Amino acid sequence: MSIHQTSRRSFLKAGSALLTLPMLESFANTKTAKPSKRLIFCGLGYGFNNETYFPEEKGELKNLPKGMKPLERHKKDITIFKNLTNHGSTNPHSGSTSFLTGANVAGTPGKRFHNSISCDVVAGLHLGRDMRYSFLSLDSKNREQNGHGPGLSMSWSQEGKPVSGIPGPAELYLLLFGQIKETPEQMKNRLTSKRSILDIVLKDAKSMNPKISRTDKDKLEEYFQSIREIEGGLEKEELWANKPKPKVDIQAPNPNAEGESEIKLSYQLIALALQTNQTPVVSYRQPMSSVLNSWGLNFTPHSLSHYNGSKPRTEAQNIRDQKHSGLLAYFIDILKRTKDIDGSSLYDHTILSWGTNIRTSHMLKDVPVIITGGGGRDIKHGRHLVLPKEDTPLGNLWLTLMQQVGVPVESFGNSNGNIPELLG
Amino acid sequence: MYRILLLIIPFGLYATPVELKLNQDIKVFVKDYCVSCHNEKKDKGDIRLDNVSFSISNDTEAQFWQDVLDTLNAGDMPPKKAEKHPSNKKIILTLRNLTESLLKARNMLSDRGKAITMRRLNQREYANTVKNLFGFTLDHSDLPANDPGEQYDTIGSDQYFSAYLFEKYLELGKKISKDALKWHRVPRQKLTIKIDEPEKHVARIRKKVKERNDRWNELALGIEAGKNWKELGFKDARDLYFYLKFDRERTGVPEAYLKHQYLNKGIYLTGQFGIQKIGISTKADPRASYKVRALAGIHKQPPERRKFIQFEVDGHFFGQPRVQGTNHDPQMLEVTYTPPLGKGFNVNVRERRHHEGYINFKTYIQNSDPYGVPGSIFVDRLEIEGPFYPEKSFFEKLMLDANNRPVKLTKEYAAEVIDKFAFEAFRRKIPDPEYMAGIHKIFNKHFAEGKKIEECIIETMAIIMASPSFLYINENSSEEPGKTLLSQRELAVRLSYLLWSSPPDEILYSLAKEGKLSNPQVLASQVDRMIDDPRSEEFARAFISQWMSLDRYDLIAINKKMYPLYDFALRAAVKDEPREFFKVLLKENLPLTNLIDSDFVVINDSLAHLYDLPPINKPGFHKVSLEKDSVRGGILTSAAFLTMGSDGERTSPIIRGALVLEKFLHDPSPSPPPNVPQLSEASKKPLPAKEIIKIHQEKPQCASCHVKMDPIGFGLENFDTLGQWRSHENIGRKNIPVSTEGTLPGEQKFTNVQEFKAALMNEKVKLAESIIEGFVSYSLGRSVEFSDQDAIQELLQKIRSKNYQTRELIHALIKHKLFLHK
Repeated sequence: MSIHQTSRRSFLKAGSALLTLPMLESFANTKTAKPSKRLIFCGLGYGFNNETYFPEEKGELKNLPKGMKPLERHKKDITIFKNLTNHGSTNPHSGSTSFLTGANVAGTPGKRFHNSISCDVVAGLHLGRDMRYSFLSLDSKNREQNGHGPGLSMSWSQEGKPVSGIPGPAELYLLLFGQIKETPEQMKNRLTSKRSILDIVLKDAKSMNPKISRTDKDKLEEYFQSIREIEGGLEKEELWANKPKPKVDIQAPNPNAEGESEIKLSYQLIALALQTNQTPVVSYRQPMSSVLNSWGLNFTPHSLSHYNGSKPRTEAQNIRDQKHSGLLAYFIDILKRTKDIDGSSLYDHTILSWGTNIRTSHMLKDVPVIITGGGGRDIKHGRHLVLPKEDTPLGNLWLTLMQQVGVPVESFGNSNGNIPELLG
Repeated sequence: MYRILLLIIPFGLYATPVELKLNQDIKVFVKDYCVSCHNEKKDKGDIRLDNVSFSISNDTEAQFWQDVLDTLNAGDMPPKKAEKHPSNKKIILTLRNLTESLLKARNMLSDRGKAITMRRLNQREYANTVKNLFGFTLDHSDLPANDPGEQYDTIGSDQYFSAYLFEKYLELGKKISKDALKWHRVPRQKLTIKIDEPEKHVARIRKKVKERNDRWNELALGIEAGKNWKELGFKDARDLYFYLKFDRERTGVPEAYLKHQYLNKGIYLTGQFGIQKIGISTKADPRASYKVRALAGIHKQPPERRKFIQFEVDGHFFGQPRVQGTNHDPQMLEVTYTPPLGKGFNVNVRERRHHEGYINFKTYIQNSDPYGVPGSIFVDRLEIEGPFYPEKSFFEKLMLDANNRPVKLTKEYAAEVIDKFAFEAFRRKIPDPEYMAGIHKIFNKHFAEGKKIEECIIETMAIIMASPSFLYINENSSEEPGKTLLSQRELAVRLSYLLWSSPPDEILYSLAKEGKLSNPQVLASQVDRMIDDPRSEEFARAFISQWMSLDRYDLIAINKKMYPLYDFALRAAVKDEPREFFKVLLKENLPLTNLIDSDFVVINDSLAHLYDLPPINKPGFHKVSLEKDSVRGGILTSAAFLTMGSDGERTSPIIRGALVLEKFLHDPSPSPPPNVPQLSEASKKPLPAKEIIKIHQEKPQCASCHVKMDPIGFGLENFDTLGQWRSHENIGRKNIPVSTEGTLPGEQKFTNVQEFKAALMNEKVKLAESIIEGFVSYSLGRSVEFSDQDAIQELLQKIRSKNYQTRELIHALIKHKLFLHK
C-alpha cells in the first residue's frame, strides 16, 4: 500500500495545476465563534418579461412591478440592479454558463469553448477552508431545455472546467446529513480500497499518456484531474472522519420531487447547509422545465421566453415571473427565520444573489439580478439601483460581494472595479 | 482575468497564416459614418477607426470587428445625435457583410489543423458497447447524459470528464457486472407464450351493477314499507332525493356496457369504469426480446383518430398499430419489445392518446369524436411470447458452456475471465501489464477476504469499465494530425463506431489482425456488409437526426388544444420517421436528393393518418409509394421538419426558412445576435405571416439576415404546425388562405410546394455539401474546418459522379485520407 501511495502521490504532483485542498490541524470552535459570512448564488436560466418584471422608478422600491409583486413583504431587504451586463456572454440561450465567471466562452481564440473560474468557487476556496465542504454546487436532475447553457452546475473550477452539480435535494441531504453507519475500521478499509482503485485506473491512463498527441493529453488531463478531485475528497473525508455530521430533525427529501416542490426543498436544505456550518457558499442552478409543468404551464422554458406574440404566452410569462418571485420571497423567509449560532438570523450573515445572464428573449444587456441578505456589512437594500454607467460589468458585482464577505480579491472576471453605489 | 486569457496561444494551431480582407463596402461605411468621431483627435470611447486595418488575420482583429458588429447590432451606433445617418439599406448591407466575414474569419482562425480530440463513448455508444459485451439493453436515462456541444455527439472536444462521471461509470460498471454474473449464470429459457384474457375484468362490472340493483330493490321495498331516510341509511332527505334521482342514470352506463356482444370473450376500451387500459406482464430476461400481441377489433365506427392502440412499458411506446378487425372478427397485432436491464415488463395496452392528467378521456372524446356515438376498440386477448435470444454475447459465452450450462467458476477460471474481459473491453488493445497486475491484486485481495468469487469478479470488472482505455476511443499518435495511418485495429474500431456505434465484430477484428482490413476492396465490401447489418440502424438514426437538428423538436411545446391529433404516440412516430427514411436510402442505395423530394415515404399508420394517406394496416414502419402529384416525400415535408419550424401554435416561415437555408442550402445563418432591440409592439397581435415578415424589414439589424431567410419558408406554408396539409389558416378570428410564394437566395421564385421542391432540386449540390460536411464531422469526431475545404470538394466530385447515391457517400469517405489517418 505504502509504495502505491507514494508513487501515486508523486504522480499527482507531477501533474499540472494541482487542486490544492487545505490540510487542517484544528477546527474553529463553532460554539464561541461569530457566525461566518455566507454567499448563495441562484441561476434562473432564461430571463423575464421585459414589460412587467422590471421596476421603472429608480431609487427606493415603492410599488413593485407586477412580476416582482410577491416580494412585497421583503422590498426593504432587496436590491435590484439596472445597467449590469455580463460582457463576453454572447449566447442568448446560455443564462448560466458564464453568469458567475464572466468569461467570453465562445470568443476565446483557438477554442470553441472556454470558461474560467466562477466566483462561488473563488469565495468557497477562501471561506470554506475549515468546513466540510468548501462550496456546494446544486443542480437538478433534468438538465435539458432549461436555458442554462453548457455546464454541469453554476460552478466552474480553477481550470475553467465545469463542476458537477449535486443532482437534487435528495442527494444534497445525503451529503449534509447522511449518517454513514460504519466503524472507523470499515471506513479506513473503504477509503483504502477506493484509493487502490484510483491507483489502478491511473496506471491505465499513464500507459496511454506518453504516446498521445497534445490535444489528447488535454482530454486525459481532465481524467487525471477528476481522479485527483476524488482523491482530494477522500482526504477531506478522512480528515472529517471523526467529526460526525450534524443530526437534524428533518426527513430525507423525496427523490422524485420535481418542479416547485424540488426548489422549495432545495432552498430549505441550502439554509440548513449554511446553518450547520458545513459550507460557506452554495450555488444553485434551478430546474426550469419541470417547474413550469408544476405550475400547470404547458410550455418549454425556451418557447415561453422566446416567442412573444400570443396572449396565452404573455400570461404564462407573467405567471412564471410571479411564481419565481414567490419562491424567492419564500427563500428569504427561510433565511430570516433560521437562527444562526449566536441567535441572530441566517439572513443577517448571508448574501443571496438571484438572477441570470439573459434579460428577456435574446437580450443580454442589463441583466436581471436581485440581491438580498445582511451579509455585506455596507450594503444598503430596498432600492432599484440604477448604476450610473450603462453596461457596468457584472463582474463588478461579484467582486463587490466577495469583498463584502471578506474574500481578498482585487479583480474578478470582467470586472473593472467594485460598485461603490451599492455600499453605504 | 478574461483579458489575460486572450493572450494564451492555444496549441494545436497548426494553421498557416491567414488573412481575410473585409468587403470594400465596410470600409466606405466606416469612413462615411464612423471616422468623424472615432479618429486620432476625438477617439470617442477610446475607439479609433481611422487607422484600422480592413482585414482580419489574427484573433485581436477578429475581436475588434466583433465589437464593431455588436455595437451596430445593438443599434447604439451611429448615435442619434450624429449628423449623418446611413440608410437602412446601407446598414443592412454592412451588417450582412461584416457578419459573414466574421463567421468566415472565425472558422479560419479556429482551424486546429484537423486535430481529432480523443473522445469518450457518448451515451448511445456506451449503451451499444455494453450490449455488445453482455447482450443487455440499457435504458439511456440511466446513463450519464451527453455534454451539450456542437451538432454531433461524437465530437470529443465538446466532452468533459469529471469526478462525478468517474464515480458514475464505476457504479454503472458494478451494476452491469452484477447483472452479468447473475443472468449469464442462468441457462437460457424455453420459449413460452403467456396469455391474458381481459374479459376477466367484466366480472367487476357485473358485480358493481348487481350491487347497485340490489341496493335499489332493497330501497324500493323499504320505501314501499314507509321507511324514512334515516331508516334507509341516508344522511338527510336531500341525500335520498339525489340517490333516487341519479342512481338509475349512473347504473345505466355499466348496464349498457353489459349489453355489448362478446363480453365472454374480451373487453371494450370504452374508458368507463376504469377500463381504459389493460395489461399483461411477465418476468423479463434482459438477454432476450419478446413478441407482444393483441387480438383486437373495432366496434362501431369511431373516427379514424380513434382506431389505434398503443403498447407501452413505463412510458416508453413501442407500438401504435391501427386496428382493422372487428369485435366479431378481431385480428392479431404483433410488436417486438426488448426489455431494458433492470426494468419491469408490464405492458399496458390502450387506445392511442395522451396519458391521464394531460387531457382527460371525456375531453379527448369530445375533441376527436365530437358528434358520433363513441365507438371503441375491442380486445379479445393479450399475449407475450418469448424469450427470443440473439447470438450469445461475449460474456455469455464465457459463462455458459456449449450445452447451455453454467461454467464452473474456479479461481483460475475467474482470473482468465478477467484477462479476457479487459482485452475485449479495451477493444482488443493489450492492457498495460502493470495495470493488469493491479487488477488481479484487487481480485486476490477480495478473494482473500473470503468474498464470493462472483463478487470478486464484479469488483474488478467495474474498475475495467471505469478505465480510460474502455471509456475513450483512443487512437495513439504523437505525430501531427493527419500524418499517421490508423493501425488496422484502430481502423476497425473507427469503422464500427461510425456505422454501428458499437465495437467491431469478430469479422472486423480478424481482418484487422490479418492486416487485410485496409485493403480497398476488403474495406468496401466490409462497409456494404455493415450497412446491410441491422446494427447500422444506429448510424441512420444518429446521423440523420443530428444532421437535421432533431433535438429541436423536443423544444417545441405543441398546443394540445389546438392540435388534438398530437399525442405521445404520434410524437414517437414523428421522431422515428427520419431514421426509417434514411435507413431505406442506405439499404436501397438511393440518391441523397430524396431528402428534398421522393416518390415514397417511410411511415407507420399513425403517420399515414397525419399525412392523409391510405392506411397500411401493418404494425411498424413501411415504405409506401406516393401518387405522382403528392405533396409528401422527402425529409423536407416530414412532420418532424415541419413542426421544428413552428412555435407549437403557429408555423414559422422564418424558422423554416432558416432551417432550409442551413440544412438544404448549406448556408447556415449566424446565430441571432444578442441585444437586438425588440421588434415593435405590432408583433404582439396575431398577424398573417407575410406581415410579420414585413416587421423584420423595419429593423436593419433583423433584415440583414432575414431578407434572405424569410422568403424561403413560404414554400412550406401549406403545412400546419403538426405537418398536416392546409389551404387556409386561422388568424385571430379570420380564416384566410395561406400564401405560398417565395424566393430562394438565388432569386429563384416559386409559388407552391412542388415548385419549391423543384427549386431546391436545382440546388442539390448544396444539399450534398451539407450532408458531406455533417458526415465528415460525425465520422471523424471533430468539426469541419476551413482547411478541410479541398477534401470536401473531392468527396463532392466523387458522389456527384455517382448521382449522389447514399452509400457512395460512405464509400468515398472511408477511402479518403481524412478517414484513414489519425
